[in-house]
Amino acid sequence: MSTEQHFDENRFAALLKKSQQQPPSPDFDEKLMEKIIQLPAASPQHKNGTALQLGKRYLLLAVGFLIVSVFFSGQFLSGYFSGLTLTFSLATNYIFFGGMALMIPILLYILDVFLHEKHHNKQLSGFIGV
Amino acid sequence: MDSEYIRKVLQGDSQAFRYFVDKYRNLAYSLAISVVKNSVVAEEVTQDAFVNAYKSLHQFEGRAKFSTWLYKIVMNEALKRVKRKTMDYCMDIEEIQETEISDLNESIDTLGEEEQRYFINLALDRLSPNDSLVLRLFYLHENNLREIQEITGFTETNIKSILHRARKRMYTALKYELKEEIRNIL
Repeated sequence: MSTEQHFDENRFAALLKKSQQQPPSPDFDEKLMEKIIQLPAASPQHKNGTALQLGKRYLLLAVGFLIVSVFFSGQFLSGYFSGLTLTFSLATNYIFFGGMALMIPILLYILDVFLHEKHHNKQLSGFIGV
Repeated sequence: MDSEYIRKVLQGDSQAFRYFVDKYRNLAYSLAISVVKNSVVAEEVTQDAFVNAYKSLHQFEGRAKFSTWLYKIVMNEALKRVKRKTMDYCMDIEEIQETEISDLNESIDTLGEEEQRYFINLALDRLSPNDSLVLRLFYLHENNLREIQEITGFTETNIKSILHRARKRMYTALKYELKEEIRNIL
């Protein structure tokens, strides 16, 4: 006969219920709460996303900017800057606008971090009475 | 109830976090010790996990239970301290017989509550981190397969197979520990 057929699930669960352990340090809670209180207050400000999610969002935005900028540069180049300079101007524009577009996520992220820090400093200064 | 305290903490009431420490401290510690197998390290893991949970509380979206989210953090902290390869070391599964299980159950019944707790934890310590982790999540924390999947990252089939093996190994480990005890007394 197999073990599984006669395995008493309830009996086993009751045994395992006794396996709960507690941290050995008697002042575990106090040490932990001290650490927690020293941290900046938890804030729902960033509930819209983690840094990574925000970064992805900004990157999508930047790609949008890039497409729009290339479209506009193409429109302008087809009229006045036609001929020999076209290839050169296009390359320059791609590099320039592409570079600008790639800077956008970085700039937005810096702004985001700056605003977040500013918000926390405000909370902290209120807390320590500065 | 958890969501009420999450709201309080996010409104700036740090002391409200004590509610989570009181409620989940022992379960989080039991989970940590399943993986790291050392009480000092398990305590550090539990502390760090709570601090991380506090720091990233704003990211908790409420899609899963708070406990599932917290256990995942505990699990990640514990894994940082152990090498992955030590997670699945194997203990030989002796084919434990039905009569042996009932004998074991009878022997356990003769022990006092504290002794039972001691031997069960000793037996769990002898199991691989994967086995003791899944057993504790399923039977002690009463997590369902989907929640265990979320916490550990194992597939459902893998969890079922671990549970199947780990129950036998648990009885084998208990048999060994009780035998040792009897040998020591004699």
